[in-house]
Amino acid sequence: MLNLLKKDILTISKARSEVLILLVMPFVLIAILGLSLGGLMTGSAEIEPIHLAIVDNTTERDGGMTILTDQGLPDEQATAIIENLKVNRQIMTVIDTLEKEQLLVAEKMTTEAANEALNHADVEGVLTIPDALTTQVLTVMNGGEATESLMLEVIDETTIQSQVLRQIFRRFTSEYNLMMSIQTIKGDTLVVPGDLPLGETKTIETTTEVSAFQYFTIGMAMMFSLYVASSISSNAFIEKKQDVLLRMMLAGEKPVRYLLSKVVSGYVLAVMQLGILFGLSQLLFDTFSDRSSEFWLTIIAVTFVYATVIGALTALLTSLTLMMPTDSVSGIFSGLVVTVFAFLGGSFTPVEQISPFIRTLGNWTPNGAMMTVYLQQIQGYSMTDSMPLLMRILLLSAILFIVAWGLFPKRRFS
Amino acid sequence: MLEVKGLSKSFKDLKAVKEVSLELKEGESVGLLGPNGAGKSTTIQMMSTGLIPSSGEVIYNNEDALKNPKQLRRDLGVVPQDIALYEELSAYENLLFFGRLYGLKGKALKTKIDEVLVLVGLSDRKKDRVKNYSGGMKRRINIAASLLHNPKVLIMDEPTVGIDPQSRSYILDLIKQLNKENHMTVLYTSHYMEEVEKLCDRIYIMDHGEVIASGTKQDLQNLMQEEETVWIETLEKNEAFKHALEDDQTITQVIESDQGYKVIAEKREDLLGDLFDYAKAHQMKPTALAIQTPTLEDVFLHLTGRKLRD
Ligand SMILES: Nc1ncnc2c1ncn2[C@@H]1O[C@H](COP(=O)(O)OP(=O)(O)O)[C@@H](O)[C@H]1O
Ligand SMILES: [Mg+2]
Repeated sequence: MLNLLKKDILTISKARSEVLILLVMPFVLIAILGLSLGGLMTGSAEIEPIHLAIVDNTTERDGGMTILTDQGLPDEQATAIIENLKVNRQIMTVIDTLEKEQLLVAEKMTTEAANEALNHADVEGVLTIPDALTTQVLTVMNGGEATESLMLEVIDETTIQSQVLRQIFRRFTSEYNLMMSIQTIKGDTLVVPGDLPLGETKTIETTTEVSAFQYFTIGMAMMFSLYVASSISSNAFIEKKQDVLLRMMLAGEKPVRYLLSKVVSGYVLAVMQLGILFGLSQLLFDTFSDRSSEFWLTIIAVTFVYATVIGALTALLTSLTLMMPTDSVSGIFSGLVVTVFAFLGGSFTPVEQISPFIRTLGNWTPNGAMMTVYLQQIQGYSMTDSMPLLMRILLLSAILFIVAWGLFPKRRFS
Repeated sequence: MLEVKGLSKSFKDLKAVKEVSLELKEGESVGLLGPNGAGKSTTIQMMSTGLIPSSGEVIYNNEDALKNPKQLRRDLGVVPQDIALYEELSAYENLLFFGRLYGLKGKALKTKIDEVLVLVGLSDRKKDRVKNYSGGMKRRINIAASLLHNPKVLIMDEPTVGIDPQSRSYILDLIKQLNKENHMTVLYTSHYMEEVEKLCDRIYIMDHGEVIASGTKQDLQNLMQEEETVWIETLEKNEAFKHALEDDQTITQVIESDQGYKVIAEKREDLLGDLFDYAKAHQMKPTALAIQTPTLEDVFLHLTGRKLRD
């Protein structure tokens, strides 16, 4: 295995054309794009206002009045409490504040209109306020159970916009729940809740801006790592065509070891390549200045995840290549697929500014998903926020490898 | 020692190899001769368990090598038709890689590598990348890579294709040495009859996927007992003369070459006289007229009606 791995790494690192594609080209592009688009990028990486549809289904007038009067509260006091409590109005206050901060553009809609807007990606999310929410809150305060709750639908879990929306939503509900639980603990003496602590919600997003060099270092690294897979599969084709594979087979090499060696080669070469690109970019352009060692550890961990999917992709391309009489697989992949993936994944430009739909699509490409993760980490998101995409990548790796093994022409070796 | 029986291989509609049987006895040097596309490579790939036959058997030391290929693979050195090496790596790195595939390591591997490098005469160029080698050097290192595990049987697929005469004679001498001094059993595939003639104790001739003749060189020449090969050397060419020869019922083949014509005809007393008359009738002045012993080329021509190297 080590022998096969060493051979793959040697053959690729000694070939001038491979080094050119895997290291020199991306680095030159980072330099060109970073220097020329430096001005454009600052600012554009800030988050655009999020478009949110609000469906308010509230019809109740005296929401939960009886709950209070049943407890013996005088009518006037009960009315005052309810007037203060009206949850749907409080939500709108929060939204108003966010609009003033230019974080949100909210619009009230009917359920149908909102769903359509979401489908057409006119809005990034829909917040639905169920009917009688105030009654529900009062019921909960009295130890009952809520049957309905606020609901937020987002267009795609993985975009930055959606993440912001979810964070706002999560923060809002947890504040509210916390407050409610305090209320209920106080038991019989029901305290009228004051206004929600809206000040908290305003400072939710403290995203660091992404510089042009950071953006394109990640973008180019993601794109050119894909070429690791096609370089190795192209080598596998030569191995087949020139009967080196025959030699290996006659020497008793096992098919599973051959395929695994390709996975490991892809993995190791991707780690080496990404390490060199990030390192050089840092050294020459001070791309990630003043970052903590914790940040670098995160980047290294994320890089290992990306290398995994590159390894799996290498296996798939190798299997496909060995099935074909010509080297069309590597050719189509490096000539067409990489370009499309790189665009969708946002290697050249932040595609969510063109269309959120492209971002969604891009997040289903290995490079695009990982680009989002790297950018999230640069912007100071927590690992938890990146977890869904990382899991997606690992799952994708597993699927790619299983398909590769299924397609691998094992008979050739038997 | 190594034998195949009734071996066939089809690629989709194409029957590349049809019911081929051949045998290598220990210490023998056997030739497999045939034009391009005859099915030689396909046959020896199946013979070396590198390709699964459509039908037929491969038997090594009385064991079914298709079911249990381990022993055969360990004893077998295969020199593929292509340069089965990594062009970007040096000869030495290539040999390290292939040696390790066979489980060699450490000092034993290094010693063995040095030994085969001396054998193929490339010790002083071992650090160069294979892609910078000449065609002949590539062929030599291609052979070296098949010798690392001390094979008992060496199967070579056209190891002299497209190289200069010097490299060719070097390789032929090397194979002779491996066969005679190192006692390797050799199967040598080629479409050059001179090589096979010079090198091999026994010969199989293949065409269109079939073995059409086999035996020692003498056996094969005896196939042409009924015929005579006559060489007519002339300074000028004459189409009418050629046609006249071809129209003769007793003449089976007329092959034109730079210095004259080769004629294969039924054996008879007055053949030379008749040929001379034909020349005279067409104002030709042959500088020489001679009966030749048939070459394998002639045998092939006799059997198939075609030249070996069309
Ligand atoms: N893998 C393959 N797929 C389809 N046809 C093949 C394949 N390998 C060989 N052939 C065909 O089988 C025939 C015999 O080829 P080959 O064994 O290489 O002949 P030779 O080595 O005598 O030149 C040729 O017509 C060739 O095109
Ligand atoms: Mg051949």
